[in-house]
Amino acid sequence: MAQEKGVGNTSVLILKLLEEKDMYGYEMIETLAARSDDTFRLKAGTLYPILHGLEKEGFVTSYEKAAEGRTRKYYRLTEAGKGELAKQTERWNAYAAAVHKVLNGGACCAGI
Amino acid sequence: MGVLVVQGFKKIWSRWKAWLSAETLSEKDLMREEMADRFSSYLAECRKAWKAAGMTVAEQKEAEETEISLILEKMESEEKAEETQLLSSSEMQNYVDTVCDQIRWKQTRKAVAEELTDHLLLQKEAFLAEGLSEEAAEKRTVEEMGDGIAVGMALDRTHRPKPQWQMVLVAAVLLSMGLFCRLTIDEVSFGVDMAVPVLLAAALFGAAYFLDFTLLARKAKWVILLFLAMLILLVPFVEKSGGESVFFFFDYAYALTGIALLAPLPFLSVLFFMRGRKERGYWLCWLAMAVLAALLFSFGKISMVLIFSISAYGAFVVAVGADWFSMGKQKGKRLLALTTGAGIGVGTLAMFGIPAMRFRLSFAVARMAGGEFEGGYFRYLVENIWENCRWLGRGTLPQNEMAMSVRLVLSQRQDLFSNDILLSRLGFAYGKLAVALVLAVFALFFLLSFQQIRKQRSAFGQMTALSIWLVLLMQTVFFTAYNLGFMLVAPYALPLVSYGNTVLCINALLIGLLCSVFRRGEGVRDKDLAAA
Repeated sequence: MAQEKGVGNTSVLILKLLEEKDMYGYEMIETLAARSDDTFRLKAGTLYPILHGLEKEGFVTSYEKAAEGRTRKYYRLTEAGKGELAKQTERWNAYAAAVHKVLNGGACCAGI
Repeated sequence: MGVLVVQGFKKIWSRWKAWLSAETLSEKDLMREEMADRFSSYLAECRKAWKAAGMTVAEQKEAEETEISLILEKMESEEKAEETQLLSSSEMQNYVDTVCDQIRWKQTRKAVAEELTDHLLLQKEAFLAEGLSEEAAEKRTVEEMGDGIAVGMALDRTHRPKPQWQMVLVAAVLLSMGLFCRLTIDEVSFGVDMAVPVLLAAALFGAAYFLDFTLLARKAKWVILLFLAMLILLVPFVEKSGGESVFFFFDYAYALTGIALLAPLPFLSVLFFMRGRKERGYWLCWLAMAVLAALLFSFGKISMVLIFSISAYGAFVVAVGADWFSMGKQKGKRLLALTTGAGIGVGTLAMFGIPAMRFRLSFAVARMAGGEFEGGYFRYLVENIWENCRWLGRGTLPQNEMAMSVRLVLSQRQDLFSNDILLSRLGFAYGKLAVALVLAVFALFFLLSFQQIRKQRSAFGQMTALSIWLVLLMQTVFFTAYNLGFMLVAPYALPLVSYGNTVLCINALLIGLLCSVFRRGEGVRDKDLAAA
């Protein structure tokens, strides 16, 4: 998908996950893999730089919670993040619809 | 006798050394204390229950001993659980180290390390559950992570101090407006005497901008000692000049009032040092605040005491809100409400009860509300200036007996009083719109910075920013109010705009420090500060 502005594709998936509930990094990777039948199995090394970038942009915030005797960092979607997610979802839908049209013969040929 | 003195001296010296080397309570200390609290209240409940059950003293003692040994076991196991934070395998640890080594902003490394460690351990547990051996699980875990150096470099790009261009720009505009007033209204000719303080102010701003504000925490004791040493060294040389405490150095007079603007900084260090020290820490902070306020009071300006107190109080509110003293938020809030009430009560009593204070208050009231021959002459003068101002352009001299005085005060640049009414003079020289413009820039400055203060993640960052912000805000409010004829509180300075070279430099330093908090705030966690 052609990206003009805003966050990347993986980021959109992450924002979508956080729309439901606050999650920590490992949980995101597992959930994403389960939902996509293992199509999207992110490496932790990819995830964390993206997450920290999203936090810096203000699309997510984080907080720490004690778990199993250690600190766990949870992420939460912000209002700005929700807006970005809506924008990117719309863009993706338009793109997917266009691809669909082309693959099915294209809009120009519909009348012929 | 001599021996006694030596012994006494040794004792004092060893106490000093102990104090200097004493550590701030770390996160681990706090957890341990919390654990001890929990167990001791549990034990107290047990004792009550045993007594109620009608056990004999011997039986009670025996039961207590078994309970204590159980507790000790439990404490040990809890500590062990805490140690699972550490990675057992060197391969996994190496991975975390490699990633963190790429991040140049050292302060943020610890948080990243913790997050990665948690991830590694979770992943490993998952592999173990799948039936992999310990060694294989660790190997797979590290493989799953991705190249350590690449990951670290990607994180390094995200973790940078945030440049504060907006703040720098607004500060530069304020400084230029000050320069403009200096050149045109004060009619100071451009020269070394004039340029040096401005350059120094700019340099101090830059230095503080790049300085790490967490030094106030990490070097808390040194900040406190440095400030006290400065006061002790300066106080013997202080002279009173025109109601202002000044000291002389190479024939130049420096306003001690300016140094007082720095008082919130050592107070922040005290606050930091008292983190997690319960009620004792809370009260010691109030004591420190009272001592500092009394010191400032001795320099002679009540507005200074007011500015410091408001700023320190702001820090207190943030501290209690974040349960800084670890005594429970509810308890903290109750205590703060109580102390606030008591403080206001004592302040009011002192204001009206102490004759010297009452005299000063009546003087201030007369300055604001008295007739022109009853102490209200300045206000009358300021009123005359404003009445003859235009919206744009130079005002006309009043057609009454004040014409002479107004003309005089407009050109008297060295006079302390003319400095205090800079805004009125600006209004007369260029019109009310010029004053509105200056105030608009200030409003922008305070709004922009307040937004950033609210966003601070660490309590210490928020305290620091808020107390500096309040120092700047109160100065601006008092100065503006005075210039508009509300003269109850004596003006101090209009940060970066009004002169007083010392005050100019110190305000520049404070604004730089404020920017430093905004630059680095997101990388600071309170618990890491204590560990350092």
